[in-house]
Amino acid sequence: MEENRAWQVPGAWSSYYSETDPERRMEILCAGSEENPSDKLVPLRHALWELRYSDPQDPKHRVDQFLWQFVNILCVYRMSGSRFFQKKGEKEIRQIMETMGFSEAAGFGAEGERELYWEFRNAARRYFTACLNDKSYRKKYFGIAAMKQDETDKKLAGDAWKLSEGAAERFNLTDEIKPFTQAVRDEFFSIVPDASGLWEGYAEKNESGVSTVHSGVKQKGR
Amino acid sequence: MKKFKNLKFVRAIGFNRVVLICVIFLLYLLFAVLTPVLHGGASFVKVERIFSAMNYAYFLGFLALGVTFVISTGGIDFSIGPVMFASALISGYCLTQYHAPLWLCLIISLIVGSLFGLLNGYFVAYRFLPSFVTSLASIEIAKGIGSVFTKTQSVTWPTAGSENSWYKNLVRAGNVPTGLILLIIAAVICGIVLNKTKAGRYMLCIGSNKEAVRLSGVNTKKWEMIAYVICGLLAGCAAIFYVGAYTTVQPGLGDNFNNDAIAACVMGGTSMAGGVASILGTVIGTMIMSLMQEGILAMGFTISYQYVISGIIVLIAVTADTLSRKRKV
Repeated sequence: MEENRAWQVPGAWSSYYSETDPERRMEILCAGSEENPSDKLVPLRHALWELRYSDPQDPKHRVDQFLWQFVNILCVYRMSGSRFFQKKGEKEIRQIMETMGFSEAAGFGAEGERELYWEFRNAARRYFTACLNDKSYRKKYFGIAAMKQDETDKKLAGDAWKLSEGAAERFNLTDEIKPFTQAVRDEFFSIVPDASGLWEGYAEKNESGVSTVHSGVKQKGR
Repeated sequence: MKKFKNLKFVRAIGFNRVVLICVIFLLYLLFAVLTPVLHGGASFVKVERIFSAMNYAYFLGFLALGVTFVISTGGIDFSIGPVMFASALISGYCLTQYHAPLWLCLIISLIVGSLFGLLNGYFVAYRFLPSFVTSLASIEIAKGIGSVFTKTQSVTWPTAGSENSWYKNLVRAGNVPTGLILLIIAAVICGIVLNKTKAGRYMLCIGSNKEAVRLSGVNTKKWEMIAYVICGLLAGCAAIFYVGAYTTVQPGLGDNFNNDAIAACVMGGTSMAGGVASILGTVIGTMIMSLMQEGILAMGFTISYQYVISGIIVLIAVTADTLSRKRKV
């Protein structure tokens, strides 16, 4: 959690990072930029906003690339259970991470990394809220039966764990995507504060279960 | 067990699939031993038995491949069997009563299946009806349309050797199991669609978290409906393989194949909660179900026993799926 302290959100921008509606966020961003003209991170925030919400093929179409990549990472994780798909999965996760603003933030050093962390937390909040509001997410048996609250919490904890530590470990990206994994983890615990038991359960199962990290695969630099 | 799980070939194919392949061999062995004992010296180890099991596997395989797409989106289609029969009845009736060209009748079969898929998909994706309710309604519609169209008469497609019987080559051309080749080709195409295309990724992600996918800008309604259309199209294909193997179709039937197809699919590793699907697993599951069906008949039990056993298999497969997901990370 020390890193968490290092990644304290700048006071003036807390409303920007707590808002999940893209249009409202843009309004806050524009207002904040006018109020703080000397803030050197404003261009990065604009760049991340564009990267996240703009559809390059159709400027009128509002998307959320980060949210999509959350679901995409989970899909890759689930499909890469066997070795046959693991290398492909690693390649795919690296490609996904290249679209998530790491290169945009790289030029701003530690402050850029902090902004990225908060952008990921915002995306994670939107993701977890979507999960909790989605009826189909809380269904089982071909959508016929509804899950109990503890089952939903467990599923959410599973998703959060796979998105952060699970994917990072399986695909050998623990250091490279730290702002992402930390953001997902922190946001999950801010939504479900008493889920540490579930989280640790997943981590333990991962350690004792089938191997996840394929040793011998060389780590590529970003 | 842990050592076995970490063996190179087990990790390459996946533990579940290795287990399923072992189940096929064990079942074959079991039937080979039990058939002579229970059925007065009859033998299970015959080429004809394999071909007979394959006949069942072809159409069941297409049904199971189709329903894999729907289950991957988190839904279900219980109407695939009756839709298959409706497709076979309507196209067969066009062939025998209206003397439509055979190629056109085969296309009609695909169109009928796709239309049912479109109907199910529309009501699930655009009208937000639960998929099981929609597909239960579709069962009745499919059975009804099949009966009305054929005036409750069974339809017999051209038999081998008669005019217009070339469609039988789709199942077996001499000693060449063309049905198996076509099923493998279909499975490869389905695997590519599901694992390598944007459409497949959208379907899997919809099954995983529909609301998040919608918020990220994807037209979830369209892709969910497409999954049902693919399922319907493959039910239309299954109809062709069904008549290719069995020639005659009766109205008002087909429900029993839903269970087998869904069991094959879930057994193969497709999650009932959506978001995870395995085409290879579905194909292996299909082979197991077909072998079971052939083995039960070979041992001298009636078809009713097969219904009991396939029901039990569905229960086991579903329970195993639930337990494995509870354990899995």
